[in-house]
Amino acid sequence: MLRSFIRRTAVPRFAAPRLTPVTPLRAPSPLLNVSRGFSSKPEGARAQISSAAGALNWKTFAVFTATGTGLLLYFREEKKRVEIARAEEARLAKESTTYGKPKIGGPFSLIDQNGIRTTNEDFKGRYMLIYFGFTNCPDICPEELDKMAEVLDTVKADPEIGDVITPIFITCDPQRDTVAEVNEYVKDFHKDLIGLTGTLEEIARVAKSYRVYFSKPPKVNPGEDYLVDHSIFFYLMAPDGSFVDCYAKDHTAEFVSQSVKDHIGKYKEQGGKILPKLNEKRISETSSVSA
Amino acid sequence: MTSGNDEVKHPSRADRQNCWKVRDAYFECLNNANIIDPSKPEAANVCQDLRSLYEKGCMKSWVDYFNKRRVLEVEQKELLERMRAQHKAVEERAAAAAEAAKAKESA
Repeated sequence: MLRSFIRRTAVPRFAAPRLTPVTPLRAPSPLLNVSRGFSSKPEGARAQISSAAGALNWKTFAVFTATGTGLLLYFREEKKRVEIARAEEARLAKESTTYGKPKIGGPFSLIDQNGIRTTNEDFKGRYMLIYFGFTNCPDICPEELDKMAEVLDTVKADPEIGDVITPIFITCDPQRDTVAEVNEYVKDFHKDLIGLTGTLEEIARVAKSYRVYFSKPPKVNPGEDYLVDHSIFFYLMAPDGSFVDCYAKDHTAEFVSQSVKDHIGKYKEQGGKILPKLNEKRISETSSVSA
Repeated sequence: MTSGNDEVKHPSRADRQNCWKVRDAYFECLNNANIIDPSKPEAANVCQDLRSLYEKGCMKSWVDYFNKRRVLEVEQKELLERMRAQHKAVEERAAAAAEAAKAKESA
């Protein structure tokens, strides 16, 4: 019965109001077009109207008004609920940045896309925007990395902020994601993007310190391709390497850009210093290899 | 390193975009045929050309993932719609009752 209902409504008749609070983090973009706005009245309401339609009197009017009011109330209620959920989310986000910072992040030692041993020390003094993914990721990682690139450009373009963020991609699939794979992959997204890989052990360690869960399917035959299940946040880390904030899939590029700017602006207001470039040693090593 | 690197096996941006395009075309065709699950026998006889383009254009693991996700999404949406419909029906009944009570009072 359920199945037959689905078929009848392959294109949904009822428009969903904003879904933000209910959408799970990993929920991908809808495949079917959700039409927005009001839809046809439900069966019950229609039946009521037609039974009263014989007499055009106050009763007809009352039923009609009640239906309209019901719909209106429902949408108002829904809107209120979403607003409350948003406010709560914002409050929690604020709370996490003001006190009780979670212990996310930490030292790491990995290999960059040019084959150079790279540690967290190399990025000290600048903000980091870190995303965990894998190069064979079907759609979520590339979308998120495109979003990260958009955020980078937006933040960089702000004269108050400038070039203060190093974007970093860390693979959760070190077995397949060799230096060459990562090198090719990061070029697809942003010229500043640094791609890191390492041994399974090194990756597992950094993922753990960032509270990133990832898992490869248990049985993979040689030559068979597979997907890696992983959590999909990106992390904003302060110039001293400490955690500032994290962003989920349902945060838009505009939202993330604004939030990142706010964090950096506050840091600067308090006299915080940020390096305009990655430190010299790293840059010279990188260019000598890629030259 | 160039994009023609033999060592690189992951799909490029263009490969990904092509895969999404052929996937969307195939799923659109399934929508028109009112078929949700591409793994069901009834899906075998429709949209065959688009299906083969899709399966050629995307890695096998991606095809499996997109197919499963399509089914899940429809189920999720269906559940949400039913919840909303129920919610609305309750609201309407309450509003109608309130309206009726008011009408009685003023009569």
